[in-house]
Amino acid sequence: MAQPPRRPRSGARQETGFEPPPSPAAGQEDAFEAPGEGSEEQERFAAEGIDPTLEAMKDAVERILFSRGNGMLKTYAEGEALQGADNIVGVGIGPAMRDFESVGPKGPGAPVLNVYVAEPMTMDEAKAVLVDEFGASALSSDAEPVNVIRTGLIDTQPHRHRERPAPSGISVGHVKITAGTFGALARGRSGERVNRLLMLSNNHVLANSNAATAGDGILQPGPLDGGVDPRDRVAILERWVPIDFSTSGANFVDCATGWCWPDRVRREFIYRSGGGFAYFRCGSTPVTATVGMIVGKTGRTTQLTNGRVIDVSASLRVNFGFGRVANYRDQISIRGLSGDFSQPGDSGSLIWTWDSRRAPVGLLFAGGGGITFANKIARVLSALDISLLT
Amino acid sequence: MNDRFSAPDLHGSGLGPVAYRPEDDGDAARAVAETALLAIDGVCGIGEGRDDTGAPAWVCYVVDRAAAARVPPVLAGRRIVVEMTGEIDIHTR
Repeated sequence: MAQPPRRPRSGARQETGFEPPPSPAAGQEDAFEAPGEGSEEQERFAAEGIDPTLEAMKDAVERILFSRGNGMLKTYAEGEALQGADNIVGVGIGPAMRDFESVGPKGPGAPVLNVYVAEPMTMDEAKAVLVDEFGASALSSDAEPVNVIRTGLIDTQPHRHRERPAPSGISVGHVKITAGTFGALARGRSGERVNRLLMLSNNHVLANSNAATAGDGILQPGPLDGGVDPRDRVAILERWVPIDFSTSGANFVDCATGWCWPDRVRREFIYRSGGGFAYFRCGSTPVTATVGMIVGKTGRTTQLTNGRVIDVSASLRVNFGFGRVANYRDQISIRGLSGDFSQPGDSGSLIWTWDSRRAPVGLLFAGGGGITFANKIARVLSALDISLLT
Repeated sequence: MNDRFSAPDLHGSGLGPVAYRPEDDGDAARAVAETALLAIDGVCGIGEGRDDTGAPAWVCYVVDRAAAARVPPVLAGRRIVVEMTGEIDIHTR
């Protein structure tokens, strides 16, 4: 994976001095779930020791699981259903739960084997595979239930998770879209907008391609990644530049701002480092893209990537789905240096110079055939009357 | 920490759409090239970049090989670099 230019990391800090967006309407607070004390099953599981026999069975299954080849991944990639042992992707121990229909004679909360599967499987099917192919003969008894937990294939975690305060480069979206990327923080340049902490992304990410209403919820993560309104609101839609879909129209930007709750966002950018996440900062002063310039971005899908600018004045016909096409002028084109610079879900990412300044260059919004297209950041900032706060 | 700020007001607070209509500063040669190339079936974009030797070139974005075959190698004295993008889509998931 590409590594960003070195720059000291900084910890999350709460943005101060900003006006929060309007509070949820009366009654909406009720939708937030109060932290619970834990279910009966969880409490019993925590109190009860784990039987050494169960522990040994889990270890035995784990050894066989880890010794298997990766042929299943090829099968899955080719669109074939995973079956039998290939369908089992993980193992653990958890409490017998009514949700998994795994409450046996030992009652709810009793420790049982957790079996993680890529595709749906009944408990009987899972137990048969564990007995026949993993040697877990103890499971042949009806008195030994297992939790069958469907996870799909378990991937490394891209930037699709919920995080507070939410960093730039992570999944966000208007309540009625799928998911895009939180580009960067900004503030208004004039009037009362100076006191607002704003999230920059695309119109089609924050304003649902013109179909939204001011004040609509912006979720982190985006709805496709599990964001739920109002629980996961980090901002409300504040301002957007409408997209002109007429055949004679000429667009220059696909951009919008969300008005953030200051304690729910942060100005750092997220990226993967080793087995976890790390953070970096970007500059706030825009520079003009030039052909040959090396640029970077961090986004919801492809995370941290770099590429080379191949065009700084592209005129394009861009497909917005549902038969809508918009003409765009004066756009930046970027080709990835090693693989795609972006993929669907990266819309809204801030693009910056791949050097120690990390100066803002563009706002990613479209792509095709391995080429990414971006608005010029100076146009975006001018159109929305904002300054970056990175 | 926000006690010193007035309560947000959804009415008259600058929320909503804003127009952006900058001056068109395109030059004449570009306009001619754009008109000619965008008229070719399967061309979905045109821009300005550099060819393999570093010389200024038109960049022509096309949806497939058939469209690429219809693009001339040179226009108004500049080489044309063809990029096969397929349809250009917004990048939400």
